[in-house]
Amino acid sequence: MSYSLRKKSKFKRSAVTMNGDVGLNITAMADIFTLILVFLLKTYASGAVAITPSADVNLPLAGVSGGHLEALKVEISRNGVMVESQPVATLAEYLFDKKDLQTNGASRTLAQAFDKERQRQVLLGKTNDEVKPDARLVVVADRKVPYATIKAVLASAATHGYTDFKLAVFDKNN
Amino acid sequence: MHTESTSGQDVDINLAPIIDCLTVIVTFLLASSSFLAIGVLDAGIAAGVPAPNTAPPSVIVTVELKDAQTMVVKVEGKESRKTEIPSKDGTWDQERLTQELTGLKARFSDLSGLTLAAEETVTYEDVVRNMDTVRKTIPAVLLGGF
Repeated sequence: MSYSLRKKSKFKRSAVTMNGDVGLNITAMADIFTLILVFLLKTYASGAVAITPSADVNLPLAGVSGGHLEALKVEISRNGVMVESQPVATLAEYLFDKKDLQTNGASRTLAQAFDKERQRQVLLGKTNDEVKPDARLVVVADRKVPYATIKAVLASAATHGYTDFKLAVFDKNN
Repeated sequence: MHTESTSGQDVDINLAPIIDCLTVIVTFLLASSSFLAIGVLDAGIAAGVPAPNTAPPSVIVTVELKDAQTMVVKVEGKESRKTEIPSKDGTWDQERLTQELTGLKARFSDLSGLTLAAEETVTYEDVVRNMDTVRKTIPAVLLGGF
């Protein structure tokens, strides 16, 4: 929009008709909405990782090191562990049931879930050459989770070939 | 908005439905977007077989996070020592940790990674916070304690 038009619209913010109705000049409003829309679309597209933590999961803050990432996701909250958004193990105040833990520190139920995911990847790999078993695992954990639980999850994953861990965090530089 | 068509007739574009659409889109984007950017920290686990054809580093460094915000820096190899870093003002003394690691890095230039372990009750937030501090000096951090 040219300068002259903008200047003109400044003085025509509202127009009073003969019968007293006030009409808003919505051209300026459309300009503002367009700007907001462009800003929001830009913000929307700049997210590095496609992770949406659950409402009860509060991620820790840190400087990030990775960019775009698509990998198996495991989410640890106060009451349970989810693999790819599917609940697989129950926690009591962030802790595994001791009966569920094996001697190597891994969780039985969680190990079964990782095994199932690994089998699925292997099966897909047989029919599609582009699908290869992926060692990456994104850990989306609440900041209050004790290290004992983190260790159990990582041990369960490592026994099924997931050894490249990525810890999801809020970027403190953003 | 007032425009003139090629045939010379004046055409009024009705902006009201456009504003309606923009309002709906803006509301949807505001509701669905997160203004906190999520990223990832690289981590591995300090276990398993060492990589073939690589010379072992001069020293192996382990940082252990203890309860009560104390840290222990263990050095093994050409130099062997254990340094305890007590808490400062009731929290982790990250400044002292950085000093320790900077000193080690200066003495042993081949030091490129370390192991970070924690006691079972240490929270994930504290592990990540200290991992973030360590990564500023030594980029490769493996999680240990398994």
